[in-house]
Amino acid sequence: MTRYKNVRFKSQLGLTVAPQLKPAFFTAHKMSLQSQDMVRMASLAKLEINPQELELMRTSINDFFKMVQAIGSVDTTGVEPLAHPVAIIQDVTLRLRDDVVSETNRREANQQSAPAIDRGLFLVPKVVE
Amino acid sequence: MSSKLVQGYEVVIGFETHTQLSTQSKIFSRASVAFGAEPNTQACAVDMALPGTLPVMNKAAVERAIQFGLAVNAHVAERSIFARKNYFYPDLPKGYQISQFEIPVVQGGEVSFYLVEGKETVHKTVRLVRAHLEEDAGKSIHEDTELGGGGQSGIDLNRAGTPLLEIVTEPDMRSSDEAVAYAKELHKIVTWIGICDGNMQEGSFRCDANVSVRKPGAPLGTRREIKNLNSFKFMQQAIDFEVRWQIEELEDGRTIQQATVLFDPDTGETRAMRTKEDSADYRYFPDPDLPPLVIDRGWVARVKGSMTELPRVMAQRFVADYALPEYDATTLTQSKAMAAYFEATAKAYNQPKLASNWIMGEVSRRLNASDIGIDQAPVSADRLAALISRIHDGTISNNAAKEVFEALWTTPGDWVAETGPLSVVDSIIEAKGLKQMNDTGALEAIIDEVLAAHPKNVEEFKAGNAKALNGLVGPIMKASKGKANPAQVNALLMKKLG
Amino acid sequence: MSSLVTALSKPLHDLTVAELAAGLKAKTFSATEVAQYFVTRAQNDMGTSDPVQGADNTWGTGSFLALNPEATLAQAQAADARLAAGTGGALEGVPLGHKDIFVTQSFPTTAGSKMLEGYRSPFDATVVRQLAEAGMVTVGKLNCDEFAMGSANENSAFGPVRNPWDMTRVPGGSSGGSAAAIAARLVPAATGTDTGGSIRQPASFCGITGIKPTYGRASRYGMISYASSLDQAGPMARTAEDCALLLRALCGPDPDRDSTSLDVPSEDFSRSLNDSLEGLRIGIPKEFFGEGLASDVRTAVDAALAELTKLGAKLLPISLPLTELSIPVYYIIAPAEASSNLSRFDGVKFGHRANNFTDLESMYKKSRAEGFGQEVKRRIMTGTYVLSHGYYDAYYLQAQKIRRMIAQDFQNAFKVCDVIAGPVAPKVAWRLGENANDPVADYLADIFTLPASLAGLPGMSVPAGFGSGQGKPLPVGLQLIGNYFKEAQLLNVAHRLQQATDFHLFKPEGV
Repeated sequence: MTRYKNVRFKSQLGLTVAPQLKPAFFTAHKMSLQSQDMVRMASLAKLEINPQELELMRTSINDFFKMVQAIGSVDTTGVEPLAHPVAIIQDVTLRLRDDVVSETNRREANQQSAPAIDRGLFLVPKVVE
Repeated sequence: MSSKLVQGYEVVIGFETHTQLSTQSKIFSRASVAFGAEPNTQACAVDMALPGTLPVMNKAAVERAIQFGLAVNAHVAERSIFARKNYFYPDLPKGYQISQFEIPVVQGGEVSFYLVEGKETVHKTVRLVRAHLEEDAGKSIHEDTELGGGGQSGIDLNRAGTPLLEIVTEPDMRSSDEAVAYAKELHKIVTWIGICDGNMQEGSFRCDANVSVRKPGAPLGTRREIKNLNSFKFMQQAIDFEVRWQIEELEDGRTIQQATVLFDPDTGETRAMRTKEDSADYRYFPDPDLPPLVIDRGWVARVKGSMTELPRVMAQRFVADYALPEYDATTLTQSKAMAAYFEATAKAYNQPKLASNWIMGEVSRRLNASDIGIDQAPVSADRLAALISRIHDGTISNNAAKEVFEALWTTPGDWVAETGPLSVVDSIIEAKGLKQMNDTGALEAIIDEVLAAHPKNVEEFKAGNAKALNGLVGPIMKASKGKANPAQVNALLMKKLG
Repeated sequence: MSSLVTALSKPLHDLTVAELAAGLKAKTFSATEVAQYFVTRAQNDMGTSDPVQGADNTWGTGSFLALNPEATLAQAQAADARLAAGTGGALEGVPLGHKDIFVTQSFPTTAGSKMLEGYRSPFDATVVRQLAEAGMVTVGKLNCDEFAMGSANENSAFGPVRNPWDMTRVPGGSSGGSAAAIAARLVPAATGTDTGGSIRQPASFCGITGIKPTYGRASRYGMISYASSLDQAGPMARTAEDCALLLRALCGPDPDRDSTSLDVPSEDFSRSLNDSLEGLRIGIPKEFFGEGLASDVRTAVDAALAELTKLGAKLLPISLPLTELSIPVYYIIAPAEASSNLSRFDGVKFGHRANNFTDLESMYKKSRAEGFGQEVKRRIMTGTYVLSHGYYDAYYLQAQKIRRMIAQDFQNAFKVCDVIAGPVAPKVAWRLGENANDPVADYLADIFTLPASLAGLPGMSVPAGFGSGQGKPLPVGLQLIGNYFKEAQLLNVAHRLQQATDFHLFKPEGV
C-alpha cells in the first residue's frame, strides 16, 4: 500500500499532475552546491577539473538539482526502497554458488590492456603510507 | 574487575579483526585463495574488475559466518545486505569494496576468557558489536626499488576477493593484556571451529586496535586506530606505546587527532599514516549487483548440528566430568589438539588433575621452548598416562618422574614399545634406578641412622621448631639415594619424633 | 555480388532476420556471402574502403566503431559448415552488430569512451556468447553514448551518430549506433541496452523495432555497467518477428555470472505473434498525453492506437500519477550507481592512463579527467553527491522509495489493463547540437520511457508513423509496456500492428 500526496511538478514540458501542492512532509535538502562542494566531489571522484570548468558544471548541476527538489515533497513513510525492480512481485534473494575453484591462470589475457606491468605486477606511482 | 590505570588514565580499547575464511575459492569469484602464488595468477577477470564483470556469492563463506555467529552466541541475521564502500586505492580494483554496512550477517555476540592480573585469575567478557562478510583487497609491493625502473609500487591482485569476516568489538578492553588475551581467545575460536587457518604471518588473522585514553569518569577520548597488527607480541608493544604516547600528548596540553596509525616493529613506535582527505566519506549504499542474503533458520540449525563442541562448552564439560578447576579447563581447551591429548591421557589413566598439571606444566613448557604444537609432542598421551600411573601408585616420586619424562621426551625412539607404554615407562625407571624405596624397614633403618647423626635437629624439633625437620629430610633422601618416598619419610619421622 | 542482388526480389539488406535465416537454411545464399556483403556496407559507412560496385551509396552515419572482417568471415565460415552439416542454430549465419557496451574478444570495446580506447576484453559478454551459439555472425561494434549515458548518441567520444532519416538530426540514444545501423540497412539486427529508454527511444527516432525485456531476464555479465539496477540488454531489428527471434537467444538465467539475473528460462517469444487482439485491454496513461507532447507525435500515436482498436483491442484511460517524478528519481539512482560502477576506471589495470602525472593522486585525477567526457563527468559528480554523507537519505534512499511507488502504480494499472501504450518520446528527433548546453533538456525528454525502466517492466517501441521535421519525414514510435515477463504479449501486439501497417518497411531515402 502506497501513501503519498499528489505533487504538482510543473516541468518544462508543461505536464501537470495534480492541482494541490501539500506542504512538504519531508523537506529535501535545499540543494545549491557551492564551489567548495564541487571541489570536494571532484576530489572524492578523483576527477581533475579546472576552476572554470568546475564553475560551469556547478551551474548545470544546480539546474539539475532544482529539477530534482520535487522528490522531497513525496511522503514515503513506511515505504521500503526498491533495489531489484522485480522484487515488487516476488522475493529476489542472493544466489549462492558452491565453493569450487574453476578459474585458471589467465594472467596474460587479463593483463593485455594494462598500462604498465613489471614481472606480472601492475605498476603505479610509489605509494607512501 | 580491575581497571588498570596508566598514569591515572583509563585505557579504552576496541578491536576490529579481519579473519580470512578458509574457503577454496574467493568470496565473489571462482579463483583460488591459496597463498603464495605468482603475482596476478590467481586474479580472474572478476577480481581484476574488468569491464562487465559481476560478483557471485560463495556459499562456504556464508556457512563460515554462520558457524562463527553460533560460536560466539550471536544473532545470525535472516536477511543481510551487501554494501559498497567507495574509495580509491590501487589494491582495490573496483574502486569500492563489497562489504556489509547497515545490516551485517552476524549481530552481537561475546568472547570470554581468563586473564591473569597479578596474583588473580579474572574472568573477562568482551562484547561483540557485529561480524560481517567482505572481500579482501590486493597487495601493494613498495619495497622493491627495481620495479618498473624505480619509483613504482607493484600491485598483486591475487589476494583481492579473498573472503573476510570482520569481527568488531565494543570498546570493552581496559589494558593491553586484556586486548591480547581477547585476540588470543578469538584466534582460538576461529581456528577451533575451522573457519580460519589462523596463520598470522600469512595475514589470515589481522587486528586493528582502536585505542583511546581518558580520566576515569570522563567521556571517551579521541581514538586512534593501529592497523594490521599480525602478531600478539606486536599487539602488546603497539598498544603500550600508543597509550604512553597519547597520555604524553595530553599531559603536554595537546589534543589527540583521530588518525590511522601503523606500528613499526623495528622502532617499537606507532606513527600516523599520511592522512587521506575525505577518507571518511565512503558513500555506502546497498550493492545493486547483489540481492539480499537470506539465511533461513533451518540452515542455521543444520550448521549448529554439524559443529564440533565449542571450546567453552568443552571446558564446562571438563569441569563437570573431570572435576577440574575452571582455569585448568580453559587452558586445556586452548586447542582441539590439546583438549584431545588431555582426554586421551585421562581416559588411559583416571587421574585428570595430575594429567592437567603435567600438560599445563612440563608438556607446555617444552612445547613452547621448541616452538611446536602438541600434535608434534614426542610423548604420546598413552605414555604420559603410564607415567602418571607410576607416580600415583607410588612407584616413583615426582622428581624422579621428571627424569623419566625427560627420557621419554628427548629420546623417545630408544624405548621399544612392544608391550605397551607402561612397560616403556617401567624400563626407563629400571634403567635409571629411579624406583622409590617403599620398603619401610629399610627406610626406618636409614631414618634411625640419620636421627642418630643429627641430635641437634632432633632436639630443636622437639623444642617446637618445625623447620628443623628439613635438616633431617635432606640427609635421609641422600642416604636413600633419592629413592625414599617423601610422604613415607615424613610419616615415619612424625611417628618416631612424636 | 550484384548477381546475388539481382537474383533476389529485393536487396540482401532489405531482408529481415527471419528472411535471412530462412534463405541461409535454404542455401539461397551462404553465410560467408552475407557476411561479406554487410561488412562491405559497414566499411562504406565508416568510409574505409572502396564502394561496392553498383548499388550502394556511401553513408556516414557514424554507426560503426570497429570492424574485424577476418573475424567476421571466420564466424561466417563456421556457420556455413554447420548449415551444411544441418546442425545450424535458429539464427545460423545471420549477421548483427553489437552495441559497443558489450565486451567481445574479437573486437575492441570502447563503450563510446576514450577511457577504453583500444581495450580488448579476454572474455565475451554472455549475451554475445548466446547469440553466437544461436549462430549469429558479428559484423562489428556499434557506436553509443559514452558508457550508455545519453539520449541522442551525441556523447560518444568517437563522434556523434547521425539519423539516416535526416543526417542533421540525432538518432536517439544511447543505442544510437544500433538504431541507425539498422535504419540504414547496414545490419539487419543489433543488440542494444536500455537503462532509461536507450533501446526504445532510438528505435522510435530511427523507425525500427526494439524491446527491453523484464529486468533480470537477460544476463548483464559482460555488459559494461552504467546503472546496475536498471541496465538491460535487448534486441533491435526492423520487425517484432525479428526481435522475438533474437530475444529468445539472448534471454535466460546466468546464475554462474550474474546475481541479478532471474531464474526465469527463455521462451519461444514467437509463439503468440499471431494471436488475436480481440478484447485486449490497452491502458492509456493520461500523464503521457499532456501539453508537452508534440502534436505530430500525438497524431501518429493516436493513429496507431486506432489501428489496434480495429484489431479488436479496447483502449481505457489509466493514470500513472508519478510519471513526472520518474525523471528526478531516475537521474538520482542512475548516476549514483554509475558513479560507483565507473570507479574501476582508474588507469591501473586497464583503460586510459595519463601521460603526465606527479604521483598516484594526480595519475587518478588526470587519467579519469582525460578519459571521461563531459556528460559522464557530470553524472559522476551528481552521483557522488547524492550518495555522500548527509545526502544519502534525502536523495538516493528517497528516490528508491519513490521507485517502489512507481512500480506499484504500474501494478495497480495492470489490474485493469493488459498492456499500456503511449508515445516513446515527446517529440521527434531533434537536430544535432540543439541541446548542447542544456543537459537537463535531454533528461526531460526521457519522461515516457523512464517509468517502465524504474519498474523493471518490459517495454517496446514499434514504428507507428511519421512526424514532421521540416520537410523530411521523421519516425515516431509507439511504446508498449507490459507486466513482468509478458514480452510475448508485447511482441504479439507489435506484430499484429505491423501486419496492419507498413511503417516498419519504410526506409530512409537512398538506402
